[in-house]
Amino acid sequence: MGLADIIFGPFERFGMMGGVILLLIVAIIGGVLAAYLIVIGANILAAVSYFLGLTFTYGMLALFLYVMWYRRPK
Amino acid sequence: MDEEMPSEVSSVEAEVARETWITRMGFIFAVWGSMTGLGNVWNWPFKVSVLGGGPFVLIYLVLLALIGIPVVLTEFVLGSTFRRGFPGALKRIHPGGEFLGWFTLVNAAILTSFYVVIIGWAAVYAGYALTMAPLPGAMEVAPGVAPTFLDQPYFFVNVLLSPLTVVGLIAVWIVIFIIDYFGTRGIERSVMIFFPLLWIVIIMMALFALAQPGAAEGIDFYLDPLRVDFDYVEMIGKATGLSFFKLSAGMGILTAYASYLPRKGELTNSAVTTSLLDTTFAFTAGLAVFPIAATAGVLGAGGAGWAFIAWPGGMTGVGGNLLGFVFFIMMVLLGITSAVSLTEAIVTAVMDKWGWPRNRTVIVIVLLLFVMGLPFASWFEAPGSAGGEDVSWGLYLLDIFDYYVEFFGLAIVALFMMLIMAWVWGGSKIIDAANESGDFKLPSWYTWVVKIVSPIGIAIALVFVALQGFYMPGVIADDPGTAPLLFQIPFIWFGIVVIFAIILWRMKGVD
Repeated sequence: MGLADIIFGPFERFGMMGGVILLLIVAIIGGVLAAYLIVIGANILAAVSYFLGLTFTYGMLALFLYVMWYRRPK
Repeated sequence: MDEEMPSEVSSVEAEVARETWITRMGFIFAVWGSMTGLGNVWNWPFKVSVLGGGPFVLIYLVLLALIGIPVVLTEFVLGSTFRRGFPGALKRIHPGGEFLGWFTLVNAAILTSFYVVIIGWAAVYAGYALTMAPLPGAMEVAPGVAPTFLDQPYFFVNVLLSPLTVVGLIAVWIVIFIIDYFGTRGIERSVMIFFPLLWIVIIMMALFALAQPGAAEGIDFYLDPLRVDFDYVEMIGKATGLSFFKLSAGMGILTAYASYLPRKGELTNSAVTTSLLDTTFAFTAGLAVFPIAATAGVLGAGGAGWAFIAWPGGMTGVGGNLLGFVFFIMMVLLGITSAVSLTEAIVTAVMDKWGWPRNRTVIVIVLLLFVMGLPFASWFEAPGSAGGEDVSWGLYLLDIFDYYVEFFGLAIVALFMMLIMAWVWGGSKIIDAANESGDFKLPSWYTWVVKIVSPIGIAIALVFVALQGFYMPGVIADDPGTAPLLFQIPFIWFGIVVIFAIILWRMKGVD
């Protein structure tokens, strides 16, 4: 069992939607980190940018990597 | 065994014996390694910081889907369909296509020759960051005091003027040679180590950065959309250019790498994933670098000057040498994965055309590129803008060459490649070839993205590059002594590339 199986395996039951769930999880993590940035004094717009940047880079990446894993030859 | 075999093998034999990637992830990591280079750390995050912060990232991602990814996909289709390097594959679409292929690779050879010189500087810096040893034989910072890694810009100037640059160049070329000598196996094994290592380093640095006193200031500098006044036209123009400049497009690399895919290898998701991996790494590099730079008081405008002067000069705190070492080792590894891909693009094309065995081809190409890089590693003192002696002439030489080779050269190649593939070969063929074994199917309207939207985007980027070229801010104004170079180098560059491309194109081969 590889690292990808450990990360993506729990989402297999959701089919292709598993990638969207991963995207949402990344968004939640991004939201928490953005809130932390506001607490330590970052500008709110910078924190929102941080949230969006993280969600659309890591989140989209997680989504497409999941698709790659889901479509692997079985 | 080798002595009994003829050194030039026929095209059919070469096709049968062609290497392939062992794993799909090996191919993905190798392409990511090619796309992700020094610019991911010292260029892209800085562009984001002055062109709109977070909104720029979102616009960049949209343009990536409309301009960058179609170019990547098209090069993948070209390589995997014809199973040849860039010139050989284009030749099968149109006889004149081979000229464009060699034009690309001569341009890529010039780029590689000075790119490895810069990686060599980073290698020298990594060693001095760790040891903090004084630089022997250097101009002294104070009587009896030789500069160390922290004494900038003395250290940088002295490194450029010392034989250390050639030592660094040789060391980096040895590593590239060893990796490329073993072909796809060597590349795959190296990226299987470098990929996780670099991601662990950059994520750890980003988390470490969040705990620094300058975290808020650094993130504001990086991502606050209202921090600086920016021009929306410039923002979209720069995002358009970056969306394909950053993806190793227009250098023949993606075609060469895709030519080693097994028959019916997956292309669509590979194009998307590699492009997103590259963007995500660059985004993370900004999250890592800016808070640390803010804490060290070295927030700046990016580029080689920032990386080699401002950043090390700020590493004066406890553990600064370790941070400096990690930064420059990361730069070395990022650079090597890109330089290996550039070398491999040339090696693949030579092997395909003349049927040379890999060992001979790699030796010849690496030696040639090493010799080509020597002028860029041989700095000498010249009159500077302030009237004194400095190394500005050499730096401008590299800057100006970099400008024409990297921006003009790549944009021209990418534009013509897209036109040949989408209009001569057929946009629908590209989509069909990609969909044949894709993880997901591209819609039929994406044909028009490949035929119209992406070439227009590249053309717009080319116009921006040309307009910028007429002004080249900083060159003429800062140093009148270098002004003539500004007008000579484009002709020298274009002449060299065209003449060698014609020679290589007209030479008889076995393919």
